[in-house]
Amino acid sequence: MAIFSLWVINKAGGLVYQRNFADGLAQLTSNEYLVLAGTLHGIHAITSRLSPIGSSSGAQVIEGDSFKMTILLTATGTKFVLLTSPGETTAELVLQKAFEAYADAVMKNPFHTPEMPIRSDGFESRINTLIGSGQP
Amino acid sequence: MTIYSFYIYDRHCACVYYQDWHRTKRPRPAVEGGILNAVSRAVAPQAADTSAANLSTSSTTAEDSSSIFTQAALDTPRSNALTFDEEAKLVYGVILSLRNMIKKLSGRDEQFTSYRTSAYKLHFYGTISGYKFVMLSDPSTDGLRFVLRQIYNGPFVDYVVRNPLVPMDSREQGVDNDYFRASVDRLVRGLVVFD
Amino acid sequence: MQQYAQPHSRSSVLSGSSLSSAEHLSPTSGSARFSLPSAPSISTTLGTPKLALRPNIYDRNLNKTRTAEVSASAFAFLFSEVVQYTQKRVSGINDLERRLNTLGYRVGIRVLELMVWRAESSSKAPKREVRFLPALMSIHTQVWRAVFGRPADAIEKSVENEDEYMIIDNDPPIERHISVPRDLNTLSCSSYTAGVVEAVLDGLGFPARVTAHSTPTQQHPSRTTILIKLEKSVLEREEVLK
Repeated sequence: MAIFSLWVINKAGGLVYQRNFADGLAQLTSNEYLVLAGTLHGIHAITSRLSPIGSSSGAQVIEGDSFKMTILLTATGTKFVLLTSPGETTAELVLQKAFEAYADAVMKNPFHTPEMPIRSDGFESRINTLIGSGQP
Repeated sequence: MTIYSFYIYDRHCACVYYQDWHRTKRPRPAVEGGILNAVSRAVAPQAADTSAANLSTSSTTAEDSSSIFTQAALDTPRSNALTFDEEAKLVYGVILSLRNMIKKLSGRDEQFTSYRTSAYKLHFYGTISGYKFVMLSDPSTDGLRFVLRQIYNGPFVDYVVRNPLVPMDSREQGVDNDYFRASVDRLVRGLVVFD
Repeated sequence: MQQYAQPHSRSSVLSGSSLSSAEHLSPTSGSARFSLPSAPSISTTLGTPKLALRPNIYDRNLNKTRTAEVSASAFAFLFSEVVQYTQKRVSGINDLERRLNTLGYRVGIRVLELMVWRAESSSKAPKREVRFLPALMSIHTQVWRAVFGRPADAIEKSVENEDEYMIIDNDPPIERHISVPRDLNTLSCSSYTAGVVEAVLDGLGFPARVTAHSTPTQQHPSRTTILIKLEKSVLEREEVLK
């Protein structure tokens, strides 16, 4: 069980936070992560249109062979994405808590500009307590 | 628990086969020239006057009932439903993007296997030769890649690969034929997860 | 139900146009996530008669403090806006701190009035602190409790300067969600609290200059010192009263 990485994508599809916690996935440049976040944003919108039975949310879990991505879409359009090992059962909970930390330490911080990259020591330390600074 | 739909794409990004069960929101028929011939009669382009004829002459496979559904849908046009060619392109776009994303993130030649939304789950299986098998089921089902593999190993090899009347890789024709359709239908209806 | 005759009594910000956004805010995100207090959610203020049962803030008893608590989240958002608003209109950290101090001062004046009313109005022999140390103690305990719900953590006296005293808060509630960026690292948003303290001291007759400084420790990263520099006249009077 491992948590590889946490992303926060703003409502326009821009990556405003990205942090790796454990090894196991490729190390990409920040530019590559930006592109992937944009792609995910687009895919997420399309997946909600492909429902065979009426209305649907966007993709909530995307699985590969060795890892999965769990996506939390908030009511305001911000996406929290957690990359974990496939058997990780706490992903939804961790995302919910990350959202809570975001609401507290980012949105209530007067020095944060909405929709811009997150640079907040308070958020970092909340995430540290939540996920751990390095190895899970 | 149920299965909703099943797509096959060839290595030229074209949808060559489609079949569905239990779909409540169905695509509108494809526009003329939007998809290949012989993908699925249920979603093939239809002119209003010939569709009645199609209906009466359609074969005895499971798709009889679905043709009637499509007909009903035509009478009351729903503007928000996609046409089948649009839907097929979107499904392909999604699986291709996700496949690339998974590869990029893992740094290995790793397969994308599935994704899940609140309403459905999409399963993906890609063959070495570039065929892509896609199945939509209800979101609580476990992985169905083994089913896609079974379809590939069984009906697909038997009634498509070994069928001299199916032009494979032609870029013009799909692979639909009665035996294949009936066989896939039997296989899917026999699954534990089917209704 | 009479309130509905004048729909703009309290919910005017939300009325009319924002029905859909209110819908957006209420049920899905859940109140537990933000630990909102048990006040009615935004959607219910629009449509249920519950509103009539809750007295207007101006009609509530001034002395009943227990149920009159304000949501910490709501305050955090408000204070965040206050800081942003102020920051847009100043040219430097000193200016920003001075403005926050001024805003806090306006709160402090009222806090003092309210505290005196609550503590002394019912007493048969109302009293007022005339010596500095008891006054400082009451700020540390009473003012902090009235404003933040708990006393401050320590009081210190400067060893170098006779006219300097310090109130220390290990985790100031108003800074709990604030991360000061590196380029502003000398800024302390507790200047607002300093303003409150300054106003209370002023009101009690101890004019002083009050400033806030963050003095983090390993254990308490947001530890803050409120530095009080008394005016000369206060020290002279203290000397006389001895």
